Amino acid sequence: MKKTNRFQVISRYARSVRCTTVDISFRAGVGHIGSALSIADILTVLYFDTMNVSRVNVSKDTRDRFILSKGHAAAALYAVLYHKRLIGKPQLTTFAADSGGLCEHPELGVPGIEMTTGSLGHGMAYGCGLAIGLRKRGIPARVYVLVSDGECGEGSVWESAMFASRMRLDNLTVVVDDNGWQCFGRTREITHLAPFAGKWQSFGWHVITTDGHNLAELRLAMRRARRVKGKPAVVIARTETGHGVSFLKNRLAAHYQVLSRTEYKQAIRELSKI
Amino acid sequence: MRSAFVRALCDTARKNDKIMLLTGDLGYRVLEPFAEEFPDRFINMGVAEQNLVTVAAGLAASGMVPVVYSIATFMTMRPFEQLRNDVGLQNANVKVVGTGAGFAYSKAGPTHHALEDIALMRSIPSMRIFIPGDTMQMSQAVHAMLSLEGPVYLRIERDPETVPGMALPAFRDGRGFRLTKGKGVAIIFTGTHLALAKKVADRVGKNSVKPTLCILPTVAPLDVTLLKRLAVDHPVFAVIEEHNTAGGLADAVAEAVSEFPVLPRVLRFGTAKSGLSTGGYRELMDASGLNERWISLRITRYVRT
Repeated sequence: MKKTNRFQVISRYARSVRCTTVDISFRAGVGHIGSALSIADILTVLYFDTMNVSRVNVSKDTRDRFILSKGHAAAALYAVLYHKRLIGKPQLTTFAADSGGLCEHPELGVPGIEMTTGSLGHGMAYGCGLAIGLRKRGIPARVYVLVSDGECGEGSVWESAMFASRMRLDNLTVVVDDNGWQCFGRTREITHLAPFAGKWQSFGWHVITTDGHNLAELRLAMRRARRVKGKPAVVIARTETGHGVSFLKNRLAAHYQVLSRTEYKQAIRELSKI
Repeated sequence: MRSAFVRALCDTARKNDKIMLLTGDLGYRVLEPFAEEFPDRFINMGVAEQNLVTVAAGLAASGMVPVVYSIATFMTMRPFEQLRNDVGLQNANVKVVGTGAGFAYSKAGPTHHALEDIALMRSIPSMRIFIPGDTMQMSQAVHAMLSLEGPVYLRIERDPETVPGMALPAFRDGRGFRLTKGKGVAIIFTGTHLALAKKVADRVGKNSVKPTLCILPTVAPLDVTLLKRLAVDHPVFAVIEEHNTAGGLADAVAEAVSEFPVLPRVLRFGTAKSGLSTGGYRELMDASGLNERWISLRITRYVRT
């Protein structure tokens, strides 16, 4: 009974996070909605099930850390931080505001934001540094870094991948938002990642694959990652850009599209039903 | 200078167990004293400078005090975005050490000649820049950089020539120093160029008024107070550096003085494009006109006109 209730709670949060993501993006008149919706469920599971982070410990050393290396999906991160009550409504409404506030890409200084990101390919190295430092200081906190599939075109990602396995960083988990799209087209046509799981394995990582929108599978995947010893783990989450919105899902335009009021209303209607 | 750096680093690391040294696979037969005394705080990061810098930023965020080390070209150029974003923008407590700056790796060729590093680091607002003039200043600069919070770039230049009868004052963060009292011309240098600057001053002094000699071992933040005082009775500043004038100390001085009510002229002496891309250190310096004959000639001619 308890497990079902927990799952229902997470499912409700997931719906709220998706809706808030679209809501703040529409009000701010910004794009990247497709990229944000592809990670909304991953973030929900991380913040409401996997990670040890809350209002109580958000400034303490003992907290788990999350880095959105794929910084342009910040709307989803702000949405989950809001529902996790790490930021309040007044701050949330400053998203991409002319007068400043929450930036379109995450900035250090906002409660719950661990790193200023926006340029792809930096998050993993930062996560490695955090993981090493926490281990040296005897702090059992974990580090999660979310990267996108297109982001894996950056050489720095693979510098960090080699390094993390060499240092046996089993307190580091990388989650790949594998939605199959990047700025100019399909990832498979631009960045030849295949064999993707094989690449991570050959770099010394434990690979877990999962459906990035199945909350139960995501929870399990993150738990499995946590149990891996002696090497870092990567969770390759198969996701859909614009997930949950019929006119956005799996379309390149979802990366850029700024919603009209009509589209916004339709998107919220559809997301409220999932 | 490198040995002084490592000795000082070991000394500070004994008192602070958060200090770590990360190298980009360079420093063979230099960094061993640290690696042997603190094996759990030394990481050879391999030939991966972008990872090197951002891992350091993450270490700093976890409460450690990382020092990253490589040859100045590789330390500042390849990972510049990481230095700007992950260290600079976040004001991360990372100390960045670039060794063999200027023409120190003379015969290794232009890929190893760091002539832009000061310019690059100056463009990062939160980055302090320390360029000590001798081994004593090096030791003091290392202690200073490890006792302050925030990013610092430490430029290690070629070993200095000893100048009999002249010693440099103790390094102090943000301070420049008048070494001799003169007037009319202020010869300002940074790094290990006391011998060159003194020879220039002596030659200029023979042909016209005796110049004032100054060292600025901190390039950022610049000691503007000292420059303002000098500007009162030195209408000519001659700035000498082993770095391109574009964006280096000379430009920093010229930018600072451009708002002074009494505006000194700034003559700039730095590395320049020449026909020589590789060669001995002296030959490369000569090809850029960085010798006492050419610098003093230009100053004297300028003062006469």
